[in-house]
Amino acid sequence: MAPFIFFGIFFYLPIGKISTQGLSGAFWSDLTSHRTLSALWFTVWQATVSAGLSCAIAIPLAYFLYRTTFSGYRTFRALISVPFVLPNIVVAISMKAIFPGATGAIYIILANIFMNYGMATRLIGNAWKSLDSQCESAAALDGAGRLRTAISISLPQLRKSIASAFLLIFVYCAANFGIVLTLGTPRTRTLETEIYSAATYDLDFKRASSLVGLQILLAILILTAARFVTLRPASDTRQRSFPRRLDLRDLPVIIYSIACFTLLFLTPVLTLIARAFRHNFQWSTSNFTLLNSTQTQSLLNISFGSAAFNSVRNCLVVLLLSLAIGGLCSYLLTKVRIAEIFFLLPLALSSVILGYGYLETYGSGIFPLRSSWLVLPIAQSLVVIPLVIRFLLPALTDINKEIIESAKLDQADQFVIWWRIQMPLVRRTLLIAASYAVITSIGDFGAANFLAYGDQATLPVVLYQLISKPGAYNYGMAMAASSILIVVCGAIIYISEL
Amino acid sequence: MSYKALAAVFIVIALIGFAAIYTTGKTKPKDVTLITHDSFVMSKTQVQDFDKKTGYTLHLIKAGDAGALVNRLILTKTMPIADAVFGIDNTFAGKAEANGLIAGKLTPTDFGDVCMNYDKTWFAAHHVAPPTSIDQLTAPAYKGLTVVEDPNLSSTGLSFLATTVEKYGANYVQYWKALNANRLKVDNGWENAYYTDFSGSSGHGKYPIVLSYASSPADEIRSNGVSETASIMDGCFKQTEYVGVLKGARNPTAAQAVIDYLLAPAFQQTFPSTMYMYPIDMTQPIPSSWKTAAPLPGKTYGDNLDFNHDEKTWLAAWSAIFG
Repeated sequence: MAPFIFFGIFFYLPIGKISTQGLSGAFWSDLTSHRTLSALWFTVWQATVSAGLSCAIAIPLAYFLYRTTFSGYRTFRALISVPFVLPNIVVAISMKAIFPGATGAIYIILANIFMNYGMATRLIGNAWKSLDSQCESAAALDGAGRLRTAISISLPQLRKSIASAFLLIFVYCAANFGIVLTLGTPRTRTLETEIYSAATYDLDFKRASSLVGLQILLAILILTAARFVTLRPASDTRQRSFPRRLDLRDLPVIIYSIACFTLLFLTPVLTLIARAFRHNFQWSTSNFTLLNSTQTQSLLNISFGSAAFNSVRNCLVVLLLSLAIGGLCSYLLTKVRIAEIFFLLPLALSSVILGYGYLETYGSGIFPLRSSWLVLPIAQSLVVIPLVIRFLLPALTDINKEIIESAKLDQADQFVIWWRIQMPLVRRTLLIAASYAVITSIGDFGAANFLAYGDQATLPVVLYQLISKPGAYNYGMAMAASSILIVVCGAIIYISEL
Repeated sequence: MSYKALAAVFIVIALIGFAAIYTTGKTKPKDVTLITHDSFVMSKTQVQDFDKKTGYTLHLIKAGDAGALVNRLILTKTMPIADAVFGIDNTFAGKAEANGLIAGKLTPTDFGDVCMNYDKTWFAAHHVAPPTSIDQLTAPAYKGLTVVEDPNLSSTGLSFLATTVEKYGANYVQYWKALNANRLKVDNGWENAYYTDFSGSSGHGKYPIVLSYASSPADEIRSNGVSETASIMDGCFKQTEYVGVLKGARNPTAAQAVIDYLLAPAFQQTFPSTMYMYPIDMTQPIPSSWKTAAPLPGKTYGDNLDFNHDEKTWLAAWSAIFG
């Protein structure tokens, strides 16, 4: 019951409130207006192109990193995963580091690729690794070259994995609010930025609500599509192929991978770090010392350090809430196979909508949620809980039923079974879910932009304030703060990978 | 442990949660919050001075430019996020009042003039007489010399559009068409126009006429003590900024104390040096460089317009020409 109440109060009530506002207005004419259709079109095509290119770039990389072995492949794998965990806004700032005036569709797509090709490589690579290699060996024996084997034997078997990687990245690219807001122009509008500008600039709440309704429809569509293609995670019992050592015949893929790595990882990251050390046209660390202040003209409400504190504090609350409630939901869903979409819907809805919904619903009355700092972690955990469920549910259903049955015979009650048997078995999955919770909470900009103001600002909010205002100081500080975040994220990923 | 016990645990956790939200959501009685636009400057010492003199604890929130500030207040007006607001100017005052944001009246604190500036050196070197009125900017002699800001994106740009509406009446559309035909350049923000495209400032751009402020020439004084630039005195917009108590403020008495502090001489004196605006209290001293290089224009525009009602029409007409 508890999860239903939590979702009811903190998700369906605000979402319901803002979407019914839309229905009472000119829902249909809002949706068929040229503005809406062009935003919908841009959302879909930029996400399609970005996800498509990310997957295409990732396929040879997946082969290189998951089918062959060489010294340092773990480091390589870890490094290309870094951009995916970076806050959206830091990815956008990396683009601004290479192209200072970057705005427009091309940069949005570049930023999306920079962020997601590593994830695509990982998803496709893991599937490729667990592919039965007998077919491939047979083809090789019959004289098929490696490229030919990959194209006609491996890729068809990987079709479903590639499709599910594509869908996942499509969802991420469709909901990359921070990137579009930072790198966008008046022409590059997505559904999210439309909702944001309708609500905060035009104050046209009816239209904002109609757009929310449209996004809910789109979300349901994507979730349904995802159900069709998503593979069950490969179980460990299947025979695995062993990666072989690199040899000279792999030269093209080696060159390709190194080129990708240089262009898509080293260039943006190193440029960003170099810019962080440039101040008044000379090398210095002043950008970093400025981070201690609220900028020279005190543009910021709080310093970088206090924002980092807020981010970490929120993140801990999110972690607690999402693991507790996500765990409970998953547990419930193993008992009764209903209402999965009830808990999964927030996944495909943006946090922008949640932020806006909270502002509308909890902005007055006896329940002062909006003015409490807890409002942001609650909103963020609603986006995280579906992720937790997606990870935890398959792991829980995979647990051997016999163990539980025999525990029941031994008079163990529900709680003991959960705590002593199920929990330890899914510990690894829980850790993965927890790391996603951290990434999502720290990187969230959509909800934070609505709900975290003044001394409650989080890192992405402060970074956006810096990068959206022209001026050398702001630019330098944004670069410095972003490079710190990249190094920290890189270190975390590196440690967890080894 | 049974389901019942589990349910009890959840009820307790939920109660703690609600209590936490309730206590963290309430403010202390001595707290007062002033929300401002991003250009507002109040030093730490001034904040401490205020706290010491009044016994309140002052918090500052910066909420973007003046437009974003007003919109944020409208979005949160049922439960205001601050007690007092600084930085609503005459272009947004109508909107603020129409939405019932302010308890009582808005009080003016400072003002400044949006004027065209020109690069004196450029005009001397090219043997062209500098313009004295914005009327002349459509003339062939000034073809391709002017850069302004997009009124859809910049408050400076919007001020100039409003000036033309008040000065030329219905003919403002013709004026902008003529400017467009005279190869006017439109930038998206003041920084770009002034620091990059204007020839008389640090960017050394290609345009010797730029839309900026009457006070800007005071910042372009060279080593010889003479400013590189000057303002076109005919066609300036008077921008007045206000402070006010928010309707529904949790601490209106403290909000009034903040307003009194901003209007007191000690704070009024800081407007020219920190915010590049004239204090509303004209008895306060003005920097000497302002007196010589940045005189105030005699006639200004901007007081007879209904922004809240007409702004959309002007912007649509403008965008039809430049879109």
